Amino acid sequence: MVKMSKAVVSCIIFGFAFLYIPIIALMVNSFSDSDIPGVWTHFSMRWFKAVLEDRDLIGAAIASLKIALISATGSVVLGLLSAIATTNYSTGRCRKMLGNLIVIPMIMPEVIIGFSLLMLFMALEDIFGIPAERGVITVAIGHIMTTVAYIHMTIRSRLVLFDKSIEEAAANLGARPFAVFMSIKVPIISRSIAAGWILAFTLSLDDLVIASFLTGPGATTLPILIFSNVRVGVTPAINAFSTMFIGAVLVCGMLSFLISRSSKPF
Amino acid sequence: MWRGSNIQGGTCLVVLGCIFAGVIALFSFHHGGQKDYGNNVVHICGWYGIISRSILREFEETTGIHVVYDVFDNNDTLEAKLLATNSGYDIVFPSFIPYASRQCSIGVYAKLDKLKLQNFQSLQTPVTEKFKEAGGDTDYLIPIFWGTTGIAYNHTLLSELGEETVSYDTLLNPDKLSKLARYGVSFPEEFVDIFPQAKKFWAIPGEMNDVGTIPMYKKKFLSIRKYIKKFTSSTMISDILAGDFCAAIGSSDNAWRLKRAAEATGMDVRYVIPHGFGVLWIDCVCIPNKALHKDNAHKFIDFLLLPRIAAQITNESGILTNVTGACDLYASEITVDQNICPPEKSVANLMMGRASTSKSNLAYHKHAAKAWSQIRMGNFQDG
Repeated sequence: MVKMSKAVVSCIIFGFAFLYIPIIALMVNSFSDSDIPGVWTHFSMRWFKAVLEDRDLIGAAIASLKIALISATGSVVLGLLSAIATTNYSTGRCRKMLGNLIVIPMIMPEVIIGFSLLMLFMALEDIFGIPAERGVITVAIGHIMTTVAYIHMTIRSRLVLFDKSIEEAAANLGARPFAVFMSIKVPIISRSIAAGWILAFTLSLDDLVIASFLTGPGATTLPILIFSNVRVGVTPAINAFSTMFIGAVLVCGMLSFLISRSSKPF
Repeated sequence: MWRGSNIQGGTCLVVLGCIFAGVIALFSFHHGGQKDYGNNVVHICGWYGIISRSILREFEETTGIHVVYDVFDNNDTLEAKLLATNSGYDIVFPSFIPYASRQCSIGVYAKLDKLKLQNFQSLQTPVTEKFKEAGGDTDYLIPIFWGTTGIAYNHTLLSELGEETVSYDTLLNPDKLSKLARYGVSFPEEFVDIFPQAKKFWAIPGEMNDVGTIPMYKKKFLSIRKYIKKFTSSTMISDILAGDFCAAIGSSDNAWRLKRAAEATGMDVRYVIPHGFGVLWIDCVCIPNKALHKDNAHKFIDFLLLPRIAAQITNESGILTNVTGACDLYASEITVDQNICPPEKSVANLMMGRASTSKSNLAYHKHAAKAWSQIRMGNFQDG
């Protein structure tokens, strides 16, 4: 064990304080009785009760989660296919161009993506009659469009390091291409797939701009609700909700840590 | 490099889990997401927290119509959705100036069927008079909510600074404002909430909608720009309570909530409409042209025009409702402050911009909005 100097320790403390003090402050304030976030009066659980009774807030959270699940999964499938296609199955200039084309939505302003998709859906509705109205699905499509680039990058960076001889060995031993793909490639890159999924899920969960363009009746997402809240002043219910959310994330993180540890035989 | 089976177990499971979760979400969307209420439904898009759940529930119980209430977070994206195509909403609540008036003039809204609005005559109020005077058309738009723009300030702090009486002289005069700058002063996010007062205070000549006057506003505002800490219409409450700001120009409904919260923490926060400088703002309720459930939408608007319901909205949110008879049912904590709830006879003296219905007004709004965003960003240019 290397003994760390005081300077290193204080740097570490400062770094983590910078990352976590705002979150801790938010959580502490959710237990305040005050009507205004950030003002401490005395301990109370009333805002947690308010969250559980607030159907709008819960409904928005469910809509956001649905959209995030659909778009994360959808973009993982597309991102995986595009990453494989651009690393293994095409050559030269064409591959490079395709790879770049996929990444462009990542650097495009969200306002442009949101508005252009709205125009697209409008044209589609005029010509084909679908989508008949906007809602969860249209927002999810918008999110897939932006997040696919991130997943493409995550998975591709793993595929570039991929040792092709393992696949060739499997093929030599008689595995069909699909079997090679499922039992060799997918397991090896599964970590980057999972990482990409989580990234897409998070990006979708906190997107405001695209969602507010593409949403329709019955699909108010959480960020839209929070920003709409500012019209009447944000209440500590948002703090309480965030605390619950962070708690849920911590539990999930813990679980995945336990799972990944238990599945490590050596 | 490759560590074989250890990756296979756990992480592969996680990947499968993720994909499974996505499929379930998609599936549940088709089944649980949209319950089948047929046509017995009304899709509303409004601000969060103005119309409470209990009011929506009462409407559902009395009429049997299911309410789907969505919120919007700013007028601009609502406008994009309304202009682009069928937004899917049956009722929307845009701000009158410049949004609703502009949308109305290009035919976004359906003509209201007065026969279905039994309570329509309860709109005969001074606010409706001002609404019509400014170019509003009650055939399409109903001026349902209103309030004023004034100054909210920390009285204790400003007294110490020698500003016992607060007026626009305090906030628009560079000499006085520079003294307050250290304690934080915020201005509204949109030009419509500040130009009428500024025009009167600086005695800017010409009509309210004269494009030629815009450079004068710009010059004047840039002279005080460096003393303005923030442009916001929403965070005024927490800013003043936290002590980061000593004064803010903002709306009366926010001021009411601010005062209420300040009383609870023992602060002396006041809201004032400087004499002769009151500005009236209006939020409309209207039915988009392509709404699928126009009958239900009419029923909902009629419901909002009931004095009892209107008063309940006011008492819960501090936003004033433009319905005769509702004022008598306002809670005393609202009516006690004549700044928050101006008496009927003083409404006629409030200032108001012009609706963006004509071409010249549209041009004015466009240029003024552009000038205002340049003023807001002014601070980045001179460092």
